[in-house]
Amino acid sequence: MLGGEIMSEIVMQITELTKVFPLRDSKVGFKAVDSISIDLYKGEVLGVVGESGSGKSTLARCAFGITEPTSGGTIILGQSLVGKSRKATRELRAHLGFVFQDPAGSINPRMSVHAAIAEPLMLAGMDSDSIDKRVNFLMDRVGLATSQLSRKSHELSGGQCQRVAIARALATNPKIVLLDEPTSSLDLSVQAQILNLLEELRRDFDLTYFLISHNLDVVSHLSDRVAVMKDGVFVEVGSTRQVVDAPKHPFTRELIRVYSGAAREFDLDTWQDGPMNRWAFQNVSTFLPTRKIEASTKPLEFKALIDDTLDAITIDVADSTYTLPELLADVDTDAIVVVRKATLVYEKYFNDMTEDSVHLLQSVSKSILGALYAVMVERGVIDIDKPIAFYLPELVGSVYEDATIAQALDMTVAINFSEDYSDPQSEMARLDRAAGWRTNTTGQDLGLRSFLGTMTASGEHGKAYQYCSANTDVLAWLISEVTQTPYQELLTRYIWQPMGAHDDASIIVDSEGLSVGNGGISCTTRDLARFGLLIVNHGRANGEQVIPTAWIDATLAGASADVESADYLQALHPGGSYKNKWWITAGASREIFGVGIYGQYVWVDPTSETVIAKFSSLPIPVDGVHSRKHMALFKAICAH
Amino acid sequence: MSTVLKISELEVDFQINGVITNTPLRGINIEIKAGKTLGIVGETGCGKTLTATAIMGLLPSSAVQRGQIEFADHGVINKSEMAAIRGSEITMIFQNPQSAFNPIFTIGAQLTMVAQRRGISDIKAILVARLESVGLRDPRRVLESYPHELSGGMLQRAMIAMALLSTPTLLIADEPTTALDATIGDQVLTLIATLQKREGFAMLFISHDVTAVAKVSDEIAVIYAGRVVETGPAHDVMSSPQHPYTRGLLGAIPSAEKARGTLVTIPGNVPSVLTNIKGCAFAERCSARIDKCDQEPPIVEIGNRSVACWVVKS
Amino acid sequence: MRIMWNRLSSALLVLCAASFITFTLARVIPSDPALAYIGPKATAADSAKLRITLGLDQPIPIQYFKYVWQTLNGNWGYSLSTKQPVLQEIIDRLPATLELIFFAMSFAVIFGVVMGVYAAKYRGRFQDSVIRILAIAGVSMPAFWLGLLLQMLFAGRLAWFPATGQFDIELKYDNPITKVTGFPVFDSIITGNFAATMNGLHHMVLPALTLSAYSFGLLSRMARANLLEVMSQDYIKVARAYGLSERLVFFKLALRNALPPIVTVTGLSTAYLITGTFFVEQVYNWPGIGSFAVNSLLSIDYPAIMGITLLAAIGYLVINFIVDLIHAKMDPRVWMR
Repeated sequence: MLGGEIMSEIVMQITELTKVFPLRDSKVGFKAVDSISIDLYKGEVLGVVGESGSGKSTLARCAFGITEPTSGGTIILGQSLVGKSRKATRELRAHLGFVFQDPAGSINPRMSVHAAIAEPLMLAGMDSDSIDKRVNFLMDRVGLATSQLSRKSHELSGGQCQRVAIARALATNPKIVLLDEPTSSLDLSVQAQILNLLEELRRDFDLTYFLISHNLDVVSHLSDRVAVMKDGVFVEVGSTRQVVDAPKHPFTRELIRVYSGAAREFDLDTWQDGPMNRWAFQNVSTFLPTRKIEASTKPLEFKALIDDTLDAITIDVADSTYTLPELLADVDTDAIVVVRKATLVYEKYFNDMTEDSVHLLQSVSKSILGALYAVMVERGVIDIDKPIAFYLPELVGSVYEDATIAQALDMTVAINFSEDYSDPQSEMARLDRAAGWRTNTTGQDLGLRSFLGTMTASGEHGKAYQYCSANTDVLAWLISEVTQTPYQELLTRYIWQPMGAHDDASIIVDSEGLSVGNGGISCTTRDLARFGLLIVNHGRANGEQVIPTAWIDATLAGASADVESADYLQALHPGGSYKNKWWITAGASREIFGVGIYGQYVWVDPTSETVIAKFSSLPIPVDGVHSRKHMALFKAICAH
Repeated sequence: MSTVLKISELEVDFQINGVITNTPLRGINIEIKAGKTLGIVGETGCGKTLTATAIMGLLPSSAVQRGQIEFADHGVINKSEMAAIRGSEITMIFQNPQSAFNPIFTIGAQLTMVAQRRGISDIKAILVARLESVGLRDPRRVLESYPHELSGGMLQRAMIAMALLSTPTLLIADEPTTALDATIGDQVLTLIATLQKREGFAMLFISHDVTAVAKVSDEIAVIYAGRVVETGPAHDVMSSPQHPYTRGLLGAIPSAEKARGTLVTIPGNVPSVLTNIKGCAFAERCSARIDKCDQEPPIVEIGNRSVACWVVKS
Repeated sequence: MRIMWNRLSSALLVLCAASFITFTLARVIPSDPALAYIGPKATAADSAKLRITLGLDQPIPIQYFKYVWQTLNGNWGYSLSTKQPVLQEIIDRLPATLELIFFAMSFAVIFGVVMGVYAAKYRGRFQDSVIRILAIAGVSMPAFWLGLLLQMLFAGRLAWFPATGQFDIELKYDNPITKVTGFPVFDSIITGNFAATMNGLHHMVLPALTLSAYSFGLLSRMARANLLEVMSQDYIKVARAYGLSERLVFFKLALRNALPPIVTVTGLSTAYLITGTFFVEQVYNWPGIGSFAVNSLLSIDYPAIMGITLLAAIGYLVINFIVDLIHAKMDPRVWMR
């Protein structure tokens, strides 16, 4: 039945076993084991692997009658542990053996080795001659000399202690033995001895093992079947070969990877992290569905006059002094293009990038959406002071029933949304799953539309700045719904071609073909600089007004002072704010920029008429050090 | 490439009233190049942590130390010279993050003391930035938290942030993942490796976990009973171990691939530090042992490997 | 805050239990309280009449509830020997005892902790041994014996300090203390009567020293042991590894960690001092609760004994409550449970 073997007899049957520990501040309590059912077959080794807090030890204790389960139970050799007389329970217990993690602790320190092994025999009522014979036999079987019999646990090494514990566990000739982290406190070389011994004893005495360990190597080595436990449930059960060779659950895969010592590999859950993102950000369209944003037939050209002196500037930041090339390397730069007064003055590519290769913009995509909305408003397509659900009635009942388009543009929607990129439970991670940016095995959030409909309000809108990526996705959906035109076509028609893009760009779409407006655009570095030039040139390109000047001026003025800002924003840019999907600094030279996680930027300094387009593949999504380094870098270039 | 740390013939005795009670370190020779990682592998009681303690100059007064420790541009340094540079040029992260932080001070207070000692100005901003860079999402909350309010993984990240408040020349990581769950430990390892690549410090990585050491190290030193028995590039040591002890250790790692009951075992136990050792300490457990093994083994150079053994041939 | 309520309610429970036990004990003492009140020559009829007047004829539970009710209303009964209200007797004597305890404890804490820290710093050296001997002497010497020794040496032979009393008799005429709070030394300070202050302190030295000996010994040993324990913790190793100065490590970090158990011991030994005052006040003829207690005990003055016991119980609970508060302030982990 399993692994081709026939396992006829079930020796232990665990049925819907649940253990709830009461919590002080909760009526529900903490479910350490959540309705686990599994059978143990005669002669097999069932290994349960899990991390601390997974509930594996509680499961074992409940299954073996050490702890009372909250519900469910165990049938051992055809008899239930529950509701039995003391005597019957004791007889049943004689069929069970126990080996625990801490060998020294599980043997009474005042007892001699002989007494420790003899104790269960005495309780079983054996006479002393038979006891001595049995103890000597067991000592021999676990590889200890009889000369050790008079010793006490503190006179033994860890391995010897564990051998004594095994002898004691086997004293009454049990049929099923619980091995709870049997080798976790032992050194590697001693662990191997004990593992070999356990296997030998299992074969010779026809034992069945219930093995619990955090160590996947130990579990997979010793077990016929492996159950992977996490948060009180088995996320995966199968023959050892199945589980090790073809793990199904992401946690099993992660555990196997960790134990193999391999680095994280490129897959749908890791592609955004360093170092996988170096290749991934330049090749998004090879592994995610994308739609094309088309180039202009008459691209905007700029003069090229490379200013080598930029390489010599020094930048003081984060307790160090860097030259420009040093700082670029430090922030894992993939590409940088600097355009000043319509002239290309600096251009560098790294990590296989060229002027023809595209790179994922991440949240700089949001700033492009901001520009598209400027055009749409001017054309009278929409009224940004209307609630979003006015245009998308599907969203009635969600946070977007009351939140207006303007509030979504300025990120002042009060929404229950955690933008935590590292927390797999955060709304941001759910958004990624809905957009197809991560594997989605949850069965929920299938597509952006269904995800966005589940978002709820957390307070009054328009009062405080709260960065939330979902707000941009909802706007990309809205505008293509109102215009009945795919989002990528709107971008092509109203931004990309009018601004004179040299190359095609692309945007990632979800499983239903809806554009991921919050971060899905990829384009060349120079085209990103062309987009930035629109701001410097008051919205004009190739002699035409692409985006309205008034909108640019309004955006440059920043958010209203009534809007409560965020600590991190003020720490980085005192007085700065977020408006129309752009970041704006305060002070005399008012810079405006778009930012994406892992180091994507378009930086515009209207005063010096400088545009910097820059791509990176930083190892982590956001951190203050990198942000500060980037700011220093941009300001130094603009000031040069 | 310049050498950051060079330890030659380091020996440590513990003495009571001038009488040697034991000699836990009997000959440590290691070298770490700038920006590289040396991994020290060994079992309990082999002297891994004691080596780190000696480098930091934190041995108790009952310990007598012989041999040389050379550090970066300082040349040979003694205990008091080490006191001046530890915590700035050399920093350390520890096995158990729960006990490594003082339970009655906030993380912020403890990091601030270290930052002050390093003469960092604008401490608050640097701390927040540092905690962010080790992947702690809410640095302000972390700073205001007491150790018992944070998970082991978060504390270890905070410890790393403390070690890297200003970039050290050498980071000593003493079993930094042992007290953590495997997946959390792996995240911490990845973080350390990433930060090392970015900031260029050298690292001494100490662990009993061969897999973890192999993952982060450029070079590996295998240590047994207070002596380095084999050193070489990490990949080479892992794929073709030379010293009988290294071979035994790698053969002892269980896995689904190895048939049950056939793990390579090394008979006996690691000798206690109280044992008076003559010749090769591993000889009594060694299956390849020959008569000469009761004399101090020579260091045999095999390619880029050094092995302390009578049996292996160069 | 909920924890504090828990502590408070359990303190109340303890108080009830203490009052019940002392009450019961007083009733089962094999001596007739009525007899003790009117004297051995009273007739049986007199005694029976008095039993009714004192309510001694009623069932014990009713007597108890009556007693509790009266106690809460400030009626602690009348002392059998002085015929004065017990509460008044206690209020009159309490300040002298509290001042004595205050000075004794201050001495014990300051010198105990300083010596303990010093011993820890010079562990295993000469200084450590000297402090150890002092501490053991302090803990093992009975208070009345130490009191007599100090009296003989410093009051008798050297005549540096007065042998007994709280103030010189003449003080009453030369520089009488104006009563403000009832605490004589304290009152003398706030009324600017420094002659009295000096005189009071002069009298205070020997009794306070005697009373503090036990706590001093205990605290110095505790402080030393705790510091050494803390110094071996990982976080101290970490602090050193990060180059924090030895001063900072020892005095700021280690000492702070060692303090909570020291506070506990301080609290416990303050409670212990309450019994210590029985002997010390007797030896030094100190007009406080201690000598009152001894006299009451000897004359089986059960209302007084009950009053004093209740007072001691209250004192003990207050001290414990303060210790808990300080603990919570010093160790954030206390709030966990």
